[in-house]
Amino acid sequence: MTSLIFKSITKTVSPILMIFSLYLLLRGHQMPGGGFIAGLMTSAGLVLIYLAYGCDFFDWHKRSRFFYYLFSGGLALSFLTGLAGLFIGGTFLKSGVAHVEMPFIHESWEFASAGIFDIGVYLVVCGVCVSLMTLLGEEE
Amino acid sequence: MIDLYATIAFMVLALSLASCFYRLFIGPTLPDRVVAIDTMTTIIIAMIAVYCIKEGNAIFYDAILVLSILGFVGTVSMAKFLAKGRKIFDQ
Amino acid sequence: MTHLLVLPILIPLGTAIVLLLLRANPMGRRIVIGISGLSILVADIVLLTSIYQKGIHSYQVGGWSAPFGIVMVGDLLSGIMLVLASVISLSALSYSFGYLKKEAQQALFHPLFFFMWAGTNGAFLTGDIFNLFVMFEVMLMSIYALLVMLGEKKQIEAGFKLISMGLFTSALFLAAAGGIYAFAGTLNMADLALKIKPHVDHPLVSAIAMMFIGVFGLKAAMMPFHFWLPDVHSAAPTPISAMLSGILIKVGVYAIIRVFCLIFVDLQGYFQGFILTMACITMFVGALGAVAQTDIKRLLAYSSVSQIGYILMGVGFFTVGGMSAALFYIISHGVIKSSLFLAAGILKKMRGSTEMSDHGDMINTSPAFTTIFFIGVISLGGIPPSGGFFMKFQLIKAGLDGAFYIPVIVAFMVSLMTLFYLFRSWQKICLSGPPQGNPLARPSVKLLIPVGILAMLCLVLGLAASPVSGLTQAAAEQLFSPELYIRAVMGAM
Repeated sequence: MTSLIFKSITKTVSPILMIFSLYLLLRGHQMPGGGFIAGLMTSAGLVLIYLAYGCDFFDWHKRSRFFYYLFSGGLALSFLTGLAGLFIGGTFLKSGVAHVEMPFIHESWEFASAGIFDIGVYLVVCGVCVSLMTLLGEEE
Repeated sequence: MIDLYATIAFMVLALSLASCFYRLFIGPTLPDRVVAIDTMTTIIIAMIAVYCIKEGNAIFYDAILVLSILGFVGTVSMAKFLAKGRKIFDQ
Repeated sequence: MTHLLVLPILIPLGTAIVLLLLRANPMGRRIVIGISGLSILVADIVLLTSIYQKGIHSYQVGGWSAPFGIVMVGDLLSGIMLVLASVISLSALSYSFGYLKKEAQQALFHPLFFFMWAGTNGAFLTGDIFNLFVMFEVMLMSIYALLVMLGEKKQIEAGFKLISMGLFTSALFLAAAGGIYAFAGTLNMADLALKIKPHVDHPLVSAIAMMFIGVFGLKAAMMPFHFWLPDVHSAAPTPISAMLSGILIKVGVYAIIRVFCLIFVDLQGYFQGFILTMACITMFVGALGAVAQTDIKRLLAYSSVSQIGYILMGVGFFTVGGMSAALFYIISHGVIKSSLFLAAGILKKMRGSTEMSDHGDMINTSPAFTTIFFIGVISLGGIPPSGGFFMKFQLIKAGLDGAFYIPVIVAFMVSLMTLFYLFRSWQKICLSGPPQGNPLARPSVKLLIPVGILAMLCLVLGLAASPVSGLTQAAAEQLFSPELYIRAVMGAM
């Protein structure tokens, strides 16, 4: 039986971790951060939930196939971004940048194709972590 | 002036890191080692903080946040492992 | 074709991802493996000929120019290693279809194998110290998983050893890379060569060079660090043993050559005595260990340690002749050792054991196996019609040309020991009377074909030694004029 203190802390901390991981994922292009560390943060939040509420909380062990394809798909997404750089930009991993004028706030935002690469990495890390946890939870 | 203070702080932190290594090495039981590793994480966080103050930039503050979260999760799971053995994901 | 240089990394990486996605479709996986395996071989050979004709290639990943971005460089050394890697990998791949019976095992094995292949090719092509680290990690991560995949107790134990070794090496490598970055402010190898050159007398530079020897020596199982190799190489699933001994320990040797012929050129004389001494001890200790073994896979693993000593000796001469001989040695040892390991795997398939006393009378059970094994034995022992003779001959000639008499004497003695333990094992397995227990099944043809092809290659290396040694000679000359490499990388600015 997990202690009440830990459960209450998890209730507060995990959502913050998810938001923080999103922040890390989006700022990763110019500042420290990026797909890997964001995936790690999301997984840390999930590990906390698993530890506090047990592996039956999400019922994810029935969907291990989905997480397998999640991380394979993430890998494929990252790889295809690199290949797109090769075919469109001229060299492997070449990143394209677009500046888009956002409506209502009148600011120019920068979108880079490296962001898609980061999202792929994020999916890989999350998928692998969840697969590992479901495997560990299954094994009695 | 801040450089001098930072250097002193680094020396103190390095000394405490060394003593943690000592505990990690001799630690007779597993909990001793777990606590030693947890303390080492804290010391490394402190080192990054001192470095940020010395250099006057805030770019590594997120690294502090990330490291402390990972340290917290690691310690919690180690504690649960010590208490319950392999069934750490049980309720 | 400007993108030729990244193809040896991209094809295996893409194949691995496709194989992951095709988990439920065994037939599709087979087709993908066949097509991409062959296309990697073709790409490597085209790359090697292109490098041979046009000089060193370089490629800026992401379009960032040389000292700032990631750079891939292909010179003759990388080209030769790539072709060797693809030949051995193809044989191990085709062998794995017969070796791993279960579909689930194959579904796990092949993606990891291609990730490992991508990491190996990346390590050969990268022109940047940090990327070398990354590629080593890609390679090692896949090997950890491949090693413990079948879940035998021996393999788990070996996996623990390999992981401790790998973590320690990575930490040391990262420390060395950090040190060199703090000192020179760059990680690009060509740029480092320029930045380090005026400061070779600085003690930090030789300290970092020593750390690099430690890191790559651990990977290549140089003498004080050889302890992990026999367990790991003998416990691994056989196709992986062949890959480990055939190509992956050579990655460490490759890195030593690259670092000492490019970045620390002026420290060659300083470290020559050390490398030669270690090479001699490695040769001797490995051979001593091999003589004492009763298990054929462990014997081959110890023999790998000993042969790494020979290669390091050729590198340690730091002459064009010695380097050329070492490269020839890398090629022929890779082919021979992987064919021998795959042959040992056939024995394991037949009777479930690799102890030599459990086997016997192979000459009547399977003459084909006996012939293949015999070709491997005479090649590794260095008997004339095979490639093994030329590899030892060139090495000893280079040693005598450079007046390194003591290493040459040690090499001669160790050759005799090599002949002794190889012939003893061949005699025990093939000629001695039939063993106790259930009658032997015939080895399957599926397994014999890749081994036979590798054995043929051993003979071809002996009969066509002069074009190959011409190629290694050119590669060695290129290595000893590092300004070519630097111009190829930095000249694009």
